[in-house]
Amino acid sequence: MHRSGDDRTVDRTVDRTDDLTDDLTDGRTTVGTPALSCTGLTKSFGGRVALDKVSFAIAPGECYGLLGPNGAGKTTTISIACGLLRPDAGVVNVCGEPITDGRGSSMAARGNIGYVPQDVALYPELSAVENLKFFGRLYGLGGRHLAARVTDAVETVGLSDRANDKVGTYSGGMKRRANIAAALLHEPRVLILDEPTVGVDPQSRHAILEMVDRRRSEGLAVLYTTHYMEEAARVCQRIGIIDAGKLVVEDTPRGLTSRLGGSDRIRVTGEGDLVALASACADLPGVGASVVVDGGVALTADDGRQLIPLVVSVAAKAGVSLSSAEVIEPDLEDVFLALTGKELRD
Amino acid sequence: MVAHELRRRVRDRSALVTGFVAPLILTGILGFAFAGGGAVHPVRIGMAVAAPKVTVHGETRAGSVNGTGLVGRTLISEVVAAGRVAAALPDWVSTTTVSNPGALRREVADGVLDGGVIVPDNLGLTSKPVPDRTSSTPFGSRTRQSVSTRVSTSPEALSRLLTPVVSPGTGNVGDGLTVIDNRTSLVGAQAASALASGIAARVYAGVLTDSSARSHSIGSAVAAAARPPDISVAIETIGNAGHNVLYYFAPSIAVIFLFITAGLGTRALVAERSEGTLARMAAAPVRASSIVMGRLVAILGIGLVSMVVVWGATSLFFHAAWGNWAGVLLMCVGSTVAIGGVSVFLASWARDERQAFGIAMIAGLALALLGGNLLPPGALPGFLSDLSLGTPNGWALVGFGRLALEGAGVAAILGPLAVLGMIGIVFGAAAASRLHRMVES
Repeated sequence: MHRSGDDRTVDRTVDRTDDLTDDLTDGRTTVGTPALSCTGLTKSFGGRVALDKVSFAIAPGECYGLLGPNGAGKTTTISIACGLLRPDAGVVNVCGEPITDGRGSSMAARGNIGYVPQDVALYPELSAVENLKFFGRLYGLGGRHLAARVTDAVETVGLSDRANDKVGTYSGGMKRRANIAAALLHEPRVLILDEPTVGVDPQSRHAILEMVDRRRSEGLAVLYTTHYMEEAARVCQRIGIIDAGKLVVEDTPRGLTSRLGGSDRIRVTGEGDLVALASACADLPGVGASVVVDGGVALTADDGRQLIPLVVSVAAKAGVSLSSAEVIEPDLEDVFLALTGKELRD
Repeated sequence: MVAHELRRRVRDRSALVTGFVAPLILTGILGFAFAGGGAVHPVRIGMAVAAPKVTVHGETRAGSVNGTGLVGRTLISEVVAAGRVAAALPDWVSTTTVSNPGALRREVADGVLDGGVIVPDNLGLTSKPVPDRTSSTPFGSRTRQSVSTRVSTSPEALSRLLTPVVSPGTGNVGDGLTVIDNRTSLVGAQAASALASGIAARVYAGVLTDSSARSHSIGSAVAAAARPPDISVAIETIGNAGHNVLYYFAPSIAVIFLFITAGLGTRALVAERSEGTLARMAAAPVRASSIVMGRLVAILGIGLVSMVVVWGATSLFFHAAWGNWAGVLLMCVGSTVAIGGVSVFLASWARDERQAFGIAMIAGLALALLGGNLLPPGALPGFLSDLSLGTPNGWALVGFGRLALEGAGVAAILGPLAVLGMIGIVFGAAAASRLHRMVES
């Protein structure tokens, strides 16, 4: 489903999170309450609309990716979600608690958030332990509990052996990991990461993604913004694409890619009656097109991976000896380009 | 590369400030200070009458020949205001009358006056009757009068009192003249000494002793008469032991450190905003006001420590006398709050840490010049001297001056403390508001 311009509306997959959102808007804070919900967030700077009625919700144990080019409104969304910025309209709830009310920010709601800024927001002249202790105290930690949490956090991010070194002496990847440790210290229920892997080496990126996925699987709700499609596809259960302040679409990674005409491309090569094979494949469920191409058959299908065994079976019956089978899935970059008409890194 | 850097700096506007605005301001201040803006800087000399010391039942007390100080005041009026001495002074020296010696000392210590002369009420009067006789003085023949029989408040009688009354060589004199000098205005000290010598010479045109080693035209001329001393001119440098320049500049340096520490503190806060740590703190479950107050207290605390360090170091290593310790401590706190508040408020307008540092340095230097931290107010032209009391550091130096130069107690600094407190409250609140906005944005 492609939409563009001002008429765009959010196209979402109806799933459990929508149900949770409905729960929340009804004012009920039940077991199914989203860990983080943003409803109708609107924000303007001067005459420029930075956010236009952005709504989404994240369940406990879910990682929600917010994708968009620079200036799309990702950081504004995160700033509002963290209580750093007051929206012109809309509501943010964290574990059922509004982040802001008429008088200011809710301390309880803030205490449930772990915020990882885009920049490495640590004091370079202090060690990781000193940094973590400082930020831990801001969240009400102290004494032995704080010391234990600091130890656990540096172990989680793999910095135990350098924990007492000044952060300024760390590599870029180590700084990023320490940056995340500071957000995990107080065991938040919602983790908000603003492009946490920018400028890090592949090894550190892998470690960060592993850590995020592990904490998510332990029940943490994660709001994750990134420029990197492969990261979003790897760690996010759902993705919202934001452009020019509007949430264009949200869905699972699979759901998003299937919107591109809904098709994987499958290409098989082999020897034998390729015309008969193409004809037989056209009758398979979920196949859109089946044509003979140079040395093989090209198919489009809703789910190429599930179709492969059937294609192999049909080929055997058609007397075709297959030499290769390849599934080419459309990626999120294609989805973004199709939905917004621009590259993600524009 | 150069063009790129210049373009960047110009767009940042810091180059405009540091390259043009600041040099023009500082050039103006220095020009007025050292070149007098093209005009000769007037030297202001104050005069006050002191009650003489009298002995009652063996106890020395301050007293007065006629109980009102009228003799001394009339003497000042006759000798100075009537132009008998003042006329001999250069036209860039002006004289004024101050109500009492304490006020005179304070105004000299504060830099309001460049120097002063204390005239004892019994100047030129002997302490016991002596026979009338005529003596010859460089100013003509005069008839000596006996104090016990001749003191009167009538103008005619007072006029007679202004004649030489002590026979040269008797050594039997009343209290002498006292020149008040704070050593921060050398021209003022010179003029005050000359004025005192002129008075002494006029009252008793015979002998003059200047207890200081300095020589000046009138004193030298009179001393050339080679007669025994009868009317003394004592130099009282406010403070003691000749460390007055240090006494003055030690607090001045401490105050300058306040500008530096407060400016650097604000710069660090601005840097935190750009580095993201401020946002991380703001996202934590703590009030923005707590963050702001924590930063302000830290900035002011470091400023206070810097002042105390200067106080301790100059006292310990250079034997500077800052005066009453409780007063000094109060002044340190008051100065820190006021100057820190002003400095943080100004630097809070910066968009980045480079601007914050520039604002802090330029504002600090300009206020230090205006307030008298680099040049004593007495060395500045009149309107700039007046402006010094429009700066927090100017008031800080008034308070420190009263403690160190005048030897005053806590009561004497309540005024400066109140002013500093007001400045601190106004600018501290404004600075807190600015920082609060910075944290929330």
